[in-house]
Amino acid sequence: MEKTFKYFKAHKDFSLTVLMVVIISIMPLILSNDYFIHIGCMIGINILLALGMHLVTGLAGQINMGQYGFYCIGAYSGAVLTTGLGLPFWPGLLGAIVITACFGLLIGIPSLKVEGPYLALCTIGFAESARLIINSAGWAGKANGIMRIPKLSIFGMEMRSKLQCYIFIMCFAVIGVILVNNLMRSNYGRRYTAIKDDPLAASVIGINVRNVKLMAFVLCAAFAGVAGCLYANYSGYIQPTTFIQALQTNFLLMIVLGGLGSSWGAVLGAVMITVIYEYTRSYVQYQKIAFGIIMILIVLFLQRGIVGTVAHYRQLRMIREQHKMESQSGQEGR
Amino acid sequence: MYKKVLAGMLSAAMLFGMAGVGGLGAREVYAQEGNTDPYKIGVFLRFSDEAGTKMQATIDKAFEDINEAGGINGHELKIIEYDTEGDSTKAIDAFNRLISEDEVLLAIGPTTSSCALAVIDMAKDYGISLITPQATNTDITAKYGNEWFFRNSVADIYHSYTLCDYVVNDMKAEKIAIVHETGTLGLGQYENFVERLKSEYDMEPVIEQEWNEGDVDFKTQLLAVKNAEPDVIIFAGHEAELAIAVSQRLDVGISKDVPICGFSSMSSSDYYNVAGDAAVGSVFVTTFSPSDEREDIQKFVEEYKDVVPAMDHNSAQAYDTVQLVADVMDGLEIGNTSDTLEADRTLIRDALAEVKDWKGLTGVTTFGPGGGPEDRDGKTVASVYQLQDDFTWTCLKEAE
Amino acid sequence: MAHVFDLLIVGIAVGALYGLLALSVSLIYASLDIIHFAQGEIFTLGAFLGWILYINHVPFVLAVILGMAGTCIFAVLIQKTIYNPILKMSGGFSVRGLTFVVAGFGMSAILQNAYWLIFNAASKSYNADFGESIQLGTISIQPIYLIILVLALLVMLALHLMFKKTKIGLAMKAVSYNKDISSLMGVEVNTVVSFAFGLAAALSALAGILSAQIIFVRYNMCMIMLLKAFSAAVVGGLGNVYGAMIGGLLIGVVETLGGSIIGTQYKDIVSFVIMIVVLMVKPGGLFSTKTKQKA
Repeated sequence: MEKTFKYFKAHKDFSLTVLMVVIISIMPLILSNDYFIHIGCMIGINILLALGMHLVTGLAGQINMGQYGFYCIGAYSGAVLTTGLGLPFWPGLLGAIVITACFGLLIGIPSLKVEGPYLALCTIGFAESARLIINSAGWAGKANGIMRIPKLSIFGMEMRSKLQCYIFIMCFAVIGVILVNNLMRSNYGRRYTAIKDDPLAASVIGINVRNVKLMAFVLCAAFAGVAGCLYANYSGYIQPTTFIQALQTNFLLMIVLGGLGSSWGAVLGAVMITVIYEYTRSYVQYQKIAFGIIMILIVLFLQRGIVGTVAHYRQLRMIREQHKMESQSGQEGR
Repeated sequence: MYKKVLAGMLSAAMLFGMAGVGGLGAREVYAQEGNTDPYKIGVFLRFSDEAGTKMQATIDKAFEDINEAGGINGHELKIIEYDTEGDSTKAIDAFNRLISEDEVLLAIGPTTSSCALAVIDMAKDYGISLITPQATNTDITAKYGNEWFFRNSVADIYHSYTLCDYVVNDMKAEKIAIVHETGTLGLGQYENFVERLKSEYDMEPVIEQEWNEGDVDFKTQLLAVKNAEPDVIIFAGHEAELAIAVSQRLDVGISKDVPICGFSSMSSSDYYNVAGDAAVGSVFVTTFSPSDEREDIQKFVEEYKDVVPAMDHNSAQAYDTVQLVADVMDGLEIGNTSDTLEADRTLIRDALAEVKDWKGLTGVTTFGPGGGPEDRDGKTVASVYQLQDDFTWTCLKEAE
Repeated sequence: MAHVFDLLIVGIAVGALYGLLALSVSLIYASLDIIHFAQGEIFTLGAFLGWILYINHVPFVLAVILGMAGTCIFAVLIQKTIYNPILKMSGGFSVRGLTFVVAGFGMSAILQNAYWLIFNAASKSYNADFGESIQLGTISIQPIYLIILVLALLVMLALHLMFKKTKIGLAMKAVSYNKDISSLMGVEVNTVVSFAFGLAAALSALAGILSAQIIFVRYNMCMIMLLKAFSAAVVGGLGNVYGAMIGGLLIGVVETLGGSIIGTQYKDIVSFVIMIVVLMVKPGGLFSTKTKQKA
């Protein structure tokens, strides 16, 4: 028992993932009506989107305000491939990932030359253009959107009930979290933080800054593509008005509230924002004002986000304890 | 230790968040106390634009008045409202909540056609009636209709046909220009109009131009229209952009003699307030005019003039829907408990399907047993009006 | 050919509006070195303030001046209470440049929805009369467009003179170059920064009121305008006052011409593409001589 406990303590990410799976499994037993399960599905989709934002903005330091554009492209790719071309779900999902990733590559190119708020502007410009093109595209149903998108399915079995969809989507969310955590721990993942902290120094030690930046955008787009395709096939209907700039504020808030540097921050942020959103659904204007106020408060007081602040204080406490131990042993030694 | 705190926070966030969601009240319209077990009715539509604001004010007051008069069957009504903001995602979220969490007997809404498309299958899957005072896109009932969705408004197709007939037969136009928005409203109206033009009169518009919702400059489109020298220009879209487009047409050099035509958005105060003189003389199809001499219309205008200044078809249609629902539910044996919810909803649907020749402010509503347009489009006629100097509109041609 | 001429006039007319808003964006960048994403809401505030005054029978010119003043005061208030602490903070997000992106979007959300709460969702209009339209070929230009062009040029001239000749202009340029050294040299950095922000707010308010004459006043009236203004400011070179105006006119013309070719529903894409290309190829804008170090 002692050994398992120590194992969990040492392998933080693993234990948190296990905890996440446990919570996901218990939730539908406690909150069993379809509305809560629907919220659960949206949380899963938002987790994927937040993870994408975390990869490119939190880890690699490239400000991406065009995530809603990738989401839009992912959703429409999935929808068109499964309705217009009649592909089954999994090829549609794969196609959505590939298409969105290509656009991620395209948007990665400005990031090579431009950074900070200017990159934010570029990415917004891209996302708005994507929406405008889709809004007028016949193959995308123009403003009426695409109707009767086929359901999520695996091995030919369709996800008919909300609970099945929830489990399906949450599997993707958990896999996403595991992927991001493993990426962060690997040698490859460390390059991301390197180019965020100091691109010049990173290039000096031999990191190919260009490739890392592009890959960050490609991965972010891939996550958003999965999220979009899942959303399209889950809800059965998409239209351009969903993918507007106001949506991006939510994604930004998710990673900033949770904590920029941690994938668990992204997960926490996604959960909190989705839940707060539903909690205050009846007070639309106040809710949006509240979100704005939260953003400003975070900038002023909570830059590390919730997870970041907790980790920071934990580290401070560790250092303090270590100093205490050292000074005590120093006294004894005399 | 801190990891435990973190884990605890994570689970607490999800747990309490989800559990608490139902608690924090939705916007409610109560009247007197006393009656237990109020009937719960859901309302979800787009409140974030001018039309929505008016509809919300009308619906709130209408339900308040019903509650003050004793409610329905002795039960007061509890109205739960959500804003869809015209976004299908939010509409789906709101409808899910109304069905499973708030457990409403029926839902009124949505007003935007795209949101209606998003939720229409859900209405059937969960077995709950959905009645909308707007959502005029033809395809909703034509392609995707089912027995649970009721449209208490005149679909675009009838508006467009009436206008088309009027423009070709009465105005004797031969060269018709159409300028429309890319959004669902203008797009649907344009498509139906062109379809009628082709099938009935074998004509095509001499030029078509588009704009996006949110645009503020239309001169490029209007220049192209001017060069095509049309006899008549049709505008289809939302109120504020219509207004700017219509004023800019004069700047671009299109003569004031060329008549402009449109749909019910032109009866909105956003339109004539912003366009001013440029809008006078517009010919449009709609279902309601506050200057109509009919007794019931004048009564409505009088009662609601404080709540809804500058009335148009939106408030009238909303009012009609509320009264229709109240009339239909009156006398029904509604169990009103969680167990009877399914049976109650079916009962209401069947009662709605039996509505025949129900007279409202905006027309006569008739539904039928099936799920297609014949049975689910409540009203099928609109009249042609013209905007006058004082921004009232007079009837040019009555509906047939 | 006549058609192209018409389109040109249309483009210039709409470009003048973009230019005015771009001026404020550029000015804020020049002095505070930030891209202020909530500038559109300041623009809207000006339009609302002017509208309230005008509806209550305040003469138009006075309404404009008071509207500009009111917006200026409000903006400086925001700057002193919220933005200053943010600027002074050490640390901030681990991602460079994210601080003001988040703060800007947050402020934008607060203000826009506050307007919705206060003024509701209906579109309002001044319905002010500026006289007869002027014929220019086959197009008649409403006098308001000429007023906008003239005012925009005057503002541009005034700013240019201010930067070159006055002490405060010099101080602003110094502060934008390096805050610390300027304060060592005796420049009252706080005052200068507030002055710059207030001036930019007043210009935005002017742009807002003038735009409202052509379109309408509504809580979300600035939606598309702001992005176009950023494009214009980028094209002209952020911080370059002349450039902002010319950038605006350029964007207006190219967008109108481009829109008539590729389809008017895509015309917004034209300005976005231009912005992205300029940022990548010549980040200092089309009119810069030296390249500036990016944030």
